[in-house]
Amino acid sequence: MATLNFPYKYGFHEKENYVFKSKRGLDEGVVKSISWHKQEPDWMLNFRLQALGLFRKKSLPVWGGDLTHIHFDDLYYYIKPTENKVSSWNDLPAEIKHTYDKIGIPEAEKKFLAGVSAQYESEVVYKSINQMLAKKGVIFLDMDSALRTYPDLVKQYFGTVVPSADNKFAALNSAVWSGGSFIYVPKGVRIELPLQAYFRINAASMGQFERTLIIADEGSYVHYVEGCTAPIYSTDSLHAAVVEIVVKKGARVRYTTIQNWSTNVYNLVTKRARAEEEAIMEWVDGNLGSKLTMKYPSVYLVGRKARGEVLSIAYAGPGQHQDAGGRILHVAPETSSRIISKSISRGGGRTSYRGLVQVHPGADHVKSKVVCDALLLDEASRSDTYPTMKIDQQGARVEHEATVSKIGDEQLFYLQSRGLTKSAAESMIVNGFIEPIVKELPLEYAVEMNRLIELQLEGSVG
Amino acid sequence: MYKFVQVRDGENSFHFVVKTNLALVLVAVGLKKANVRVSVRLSAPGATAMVTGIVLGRDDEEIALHTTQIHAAPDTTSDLLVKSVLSGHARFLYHGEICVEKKAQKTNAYQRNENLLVSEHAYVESRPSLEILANDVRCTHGAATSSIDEDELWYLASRGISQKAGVKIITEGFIQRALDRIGDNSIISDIWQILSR
Repeated sequence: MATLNFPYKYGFHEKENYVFKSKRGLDEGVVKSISWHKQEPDWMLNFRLQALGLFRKKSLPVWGGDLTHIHFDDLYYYIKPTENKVSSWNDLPAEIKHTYDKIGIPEAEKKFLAGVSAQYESEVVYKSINQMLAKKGVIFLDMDSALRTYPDLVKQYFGTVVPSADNKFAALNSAVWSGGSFIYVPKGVRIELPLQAYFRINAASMGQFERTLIIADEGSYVHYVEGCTAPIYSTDSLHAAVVEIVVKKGARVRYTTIQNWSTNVYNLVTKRARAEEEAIMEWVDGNLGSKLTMKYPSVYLVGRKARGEVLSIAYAGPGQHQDAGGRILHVAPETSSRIISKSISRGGGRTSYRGLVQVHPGADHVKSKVVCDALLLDEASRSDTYPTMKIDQQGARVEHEATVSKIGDEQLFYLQSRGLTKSAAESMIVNGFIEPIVKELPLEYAVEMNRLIELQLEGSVG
Repeated sequence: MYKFVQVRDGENSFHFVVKTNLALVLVAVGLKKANVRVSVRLSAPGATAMVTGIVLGRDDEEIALHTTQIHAAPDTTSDLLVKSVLSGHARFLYHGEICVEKKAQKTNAYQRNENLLVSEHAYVESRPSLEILANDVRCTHGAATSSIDEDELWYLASRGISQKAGVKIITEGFIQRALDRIGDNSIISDIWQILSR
């Protein structure tokens, strides 16, 4: 297994270049200055200040991972990188372009994908909206611009799916949020190409607090993709995003994440969707990096026949703890859901599945299935499964199954007898193990995912 | 040899340290409010434990069952099945833990919880959990909650069986499947006598 240790490939660090950086720590002054720099309306400033009060009142969760090493007073809560947004790729500062080239946004992707919105530090600096999107009436902006351009639309939905009081980190995000995406898809509009955003943390001790809001109006469809790789720092970084999604009647939203933060990042994200009648919400969630991830994408099925899905992959290497899962609340009748979780622990890593399926009174004919599979690759690693099912309605069909195992000796022996090395065989088995979820990813992400797994497991596969 | 345990109202606590084999049958029926803790610790290499639990909840009965399967030695096997049938306003809270310690390599641990809701207001909460610190193991757990299938009732009705009798047949079949694995007919008939009181 010694050959499985590889240096973090994306551990480079660009020189910081910013025009404004808030002081360390968090108080009303910091929140006010963030709001002032963004020239926000009063209601948003009040929203932030109220959230700050909630953040101070709320205590850290006692379950999940170890959060005692987060020092909220040592963090910077807002960094404004460059003065103005640029409208074309060529106008981007060379240093930022260089960063993206290292992550490897392919040229073809830049040109052909519907919209590329890349995030550098706390602010979206590069964004291109395809003519087609604008013609269809789709709004795809960074959250700050959306607040300026469509204040009424933002005000109508902001904080309605994830209220500031939800948990400590949602409150923190509500107080200091910056950047993130805003998407509005009008009635009946289907966007066939996935919308993408690249995220990047580039200043040491810098928390990132993106705020994403997606509204899919009746009968529409959108697939949003976020992926990230981050450089390694000497001090711990905190990432506490909030993602809110409203899926209206008959609409469908798929939200795909590949998270590969460097192994000093705390990734504490609140993701939730509200699905109305006959709507479909799908979360595809891949967690590979970070020191500690606590993320449980949720779907509230509030309309008849709504459907929610969570597909989750977690990989925990040395020193990592992936505490991931999914939460589905069946509030309306004839709703259905599925959670599929695959996790891999290696080199002392720990993966935990934590989930909830709840069937409320009155929600009859509910169907739900949860499947969790875990692979333990060595003696030092650990795997936990903590599902919860609460059923308060007759006629519900709720199933859960979980397995924890290691790679079978027979499987390894068979592959080795066919001439594969042990590590190549292990890599093949692991990629086969996660394949049911990887095949749901857009092609370039599926390739990247397999590449990352191979990188983690053995470096290269012929 | 079977160990048979009937749960009483109030607090119940059963702890077993298993060095060879244990076959445990636990029955909870006709209770107002009961809190049950069962722990099975497999402490010697090669030890096995089979635990079968039957829970019947009616009216306003409230039953909380917490089971723990601890694998503290290598080559150990545990197999747990808990089935409940809930009617009226009955509430059943199940929390099942499997803990495989680091030294307990080559462990097989199974846990399954099945619940049948036969009334509008029955409530069930199922919280299985696995904590696995050894790697050469095979652990699975499953939970399923459902109600009586309307198609099954319709089929029985088409054969001249009333709805009430149909519910009884299906419920008994649901429990019988758990008792089948006990294999010892005298114990099975004893359990049926307790259940049908």
